[in-house]
Amino acid sequence: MSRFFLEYLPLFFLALLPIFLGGLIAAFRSSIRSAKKKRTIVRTSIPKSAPSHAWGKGYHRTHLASTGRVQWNISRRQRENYWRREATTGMTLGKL
Amino acid sequence: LRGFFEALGLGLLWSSIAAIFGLLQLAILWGRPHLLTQEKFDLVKIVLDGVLLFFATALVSSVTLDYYFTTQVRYSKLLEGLIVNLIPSGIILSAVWLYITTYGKAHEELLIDVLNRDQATLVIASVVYAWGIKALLFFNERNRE
Repeated sequence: MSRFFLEYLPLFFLALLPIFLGGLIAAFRSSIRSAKKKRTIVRTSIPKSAPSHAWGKGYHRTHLASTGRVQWNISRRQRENYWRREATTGMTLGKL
Repeated sequence: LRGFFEALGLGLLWSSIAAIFGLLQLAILWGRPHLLTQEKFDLVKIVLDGVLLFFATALVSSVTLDYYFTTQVRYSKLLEGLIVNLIPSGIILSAVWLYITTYGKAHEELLIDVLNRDQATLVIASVVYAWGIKALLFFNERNRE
């Protein structure tokens, strides 16, 4: 038994290596998935304080939970239009 | 992917530093034997002493405990069973068994080549294990921030 164990120990660990690597890859994939889930949109609607012209015109902003960053998922043209209008009228969408 | 490779790099760095400091005495003896002692570096003596087995056991148990005490992300029972129960148990039990079965035996009774190969396998397995698990822990830690 002891001799057998001594002889085949490297082979045993060689057989364990793919199991370990496979498990590790699955764990990393699971971690990446949970990290992505954490960054999902938690708020897509415009706050109630938004001016009426912003409603229904695609001025949706998303909030990334992990970083606290605010993203605008509107086109650059729409965004520029919005900022121009905000600059001339003084209306804002309010703070998140 | 950048975070993944960063975590792999940090895991490798951690396990390399652990291996360097864990085996520092042997490295000094091997590299500069005349500095501290007149004895020549004798691999057979090191193998018979079994110090590499203690190093492998300490490294693997510390990484496994680190995982259990610090991880915030839990995986399925099967996955955890494979990567943080089966592999460290295999390494630790093998190291303990190897030490116990060879302890106190006469030099002539032992198959030095086989022992040498087995101990090298256990050390490499423990460093690879530490690398993988530490990379996973670093990755989860960075994602949590």
